[in-house]
This record gives sequence, structure tokens and C-alpha cells, in this order.
Amino acid sequence: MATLFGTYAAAWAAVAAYVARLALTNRRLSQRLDELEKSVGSQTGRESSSQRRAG
Amino acid sequence: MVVGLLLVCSLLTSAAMIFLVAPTEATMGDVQRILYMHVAVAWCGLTGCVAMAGCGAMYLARRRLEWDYWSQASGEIGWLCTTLTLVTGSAWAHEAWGTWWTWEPRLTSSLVLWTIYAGIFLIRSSIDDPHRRARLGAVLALACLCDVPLVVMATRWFRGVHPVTPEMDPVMRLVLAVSVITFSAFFAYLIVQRRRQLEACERVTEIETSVWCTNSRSRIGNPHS
Repeated sequence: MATLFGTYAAAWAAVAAYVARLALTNRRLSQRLDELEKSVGSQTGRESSSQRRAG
Repeated sequence: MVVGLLLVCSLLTSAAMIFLVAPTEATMGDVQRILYMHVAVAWCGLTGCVAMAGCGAMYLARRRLEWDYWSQASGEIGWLCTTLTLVTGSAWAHEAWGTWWTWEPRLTSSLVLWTIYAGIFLIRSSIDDPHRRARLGAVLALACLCDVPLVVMATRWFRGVHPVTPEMDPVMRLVLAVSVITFSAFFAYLIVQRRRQLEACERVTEIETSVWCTNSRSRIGNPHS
């Protein structure tokens, strides 16, 4: 019985670890995308204001 | 999200069937229940390899990175399943044969498959250029495919101790079928999620590169800023 439960526990732990890694990477990616979008947005704003000044 | 929850529910149902519905086998007792997971993950490991090679071939034909994302995602899940096959099989062998490992044709060919999977990821991780990585990954995936018939037919082509197709009670067959279907659906879902993630990773890299290029240009244009 110990072998049976041990095997299932180990297998499920491995699957859970993969799913957790997937979820964490997803979270990190969406945060990074948000940061980049903000950065690109502020740059576009800066460029357009400098273009206005030049104009 | 809803699909994920449904799949988790179906996996729990499958687990309940394995432990509560499937009858206890006469000679091996409760340890035989390892088989329901072992066969399911072995099937997923092999189909993962076939999918990885198929998507790799599609990349070589079309040269579109989407196929490489599918190939990589299938390979990762296939590798995870092959690892689980070796772990569950080893535990089963310990109870059935009194040893954790033996250099038997089915076991050896499965270990070779696991090693090729690991080698592919090791090589892929060392290449930065996405198209070069995809091209080499596709060629290696097609080479990895050669091991699949060996794993499948090892029990028939070579003499070994691994069971071929044991006689099973109809309820046991049903539980095994449910287990294989639910595990396949769950791992297919994980492949789809991982593929989306790989695409998002590439998008982030593209935006980062364009931001870096814009910053460099503005620094060159205005060196005092």
C-alpha cells in the first residue's frame, strides 16, 4: 500500500510542480508585458511632446 | 479556466475509479493499481514524441515558428510523461520482480527515449536564434521518433520480462480506458497552455528588443540625456 500511495503522490507532485511553474511563468510574463506596454506608452508620449515642441 | 477545472474534476473521478471501482488484482494486490497511471502516462509520453516530431516536420516544411512552439510544448509534456512512466514502472517492478530496474528491452528503450528528450531540450536551450533552434529541434525530434516503434514493439520483437497485453477484468479495462482518456485530455490541455506561453515569451522578447533599439537610437541622437 505504501508503494502504491508513494508512487501516486510522487507522480502527482511532479505534475503539480509543472502546473505551478506554468502558472508562475504566466504571471511573470503578464507583469513584464504590462511594464513594457507602460514603458512603450510613456516613450510614445515623450516622443509626441518633443515632436510638438519641434513643430 | 473552465476547461482546466473540468479536466481536474475528470482526473479526480478517474482517481476515485482507480482506488474505489477497480477490483483488486488476485496475485499482485493493490500495487497493481499503479498500472492505470503507468499505461496512461506511457501513452502520453509516446504520443508527445510523435506530436513533437510531427510539428517539427511541419516547421521544416513551412518555416513558421508557431509549429516550433507546438513541437516544444508537446516535447516538454512528453518528457514529463516519460519521466512518470519510468518512476511508476520502477515502483511496479519493485513489487512484481523484486528489483527497481532491469536492463530489459522495453525499459531500456524507454530510458533511451527519456535521454533523447532530455538531450533535445539541452541542445535547444543552448541556441539563441529561434529559427536555428527550431530547425535543429525539428531534426532531433524526427530522430527521436525512431525510438517510438522500438518502445512499442520491444515486448514482441525481443525477449523480456515486461508484460505484453495481460488478460484483464472488464471493469479493470473500463477504468484503464477512463484513465488513459482523462490523462490524455489533461496533458493536451497543458500542451495548449504551454504553447500559448511560448508565443507570449517570444512577443515579450520582440517588444524588449524594439524598446532597447528605440532607447539606443534616442541616446545616440541626444548623447547628453
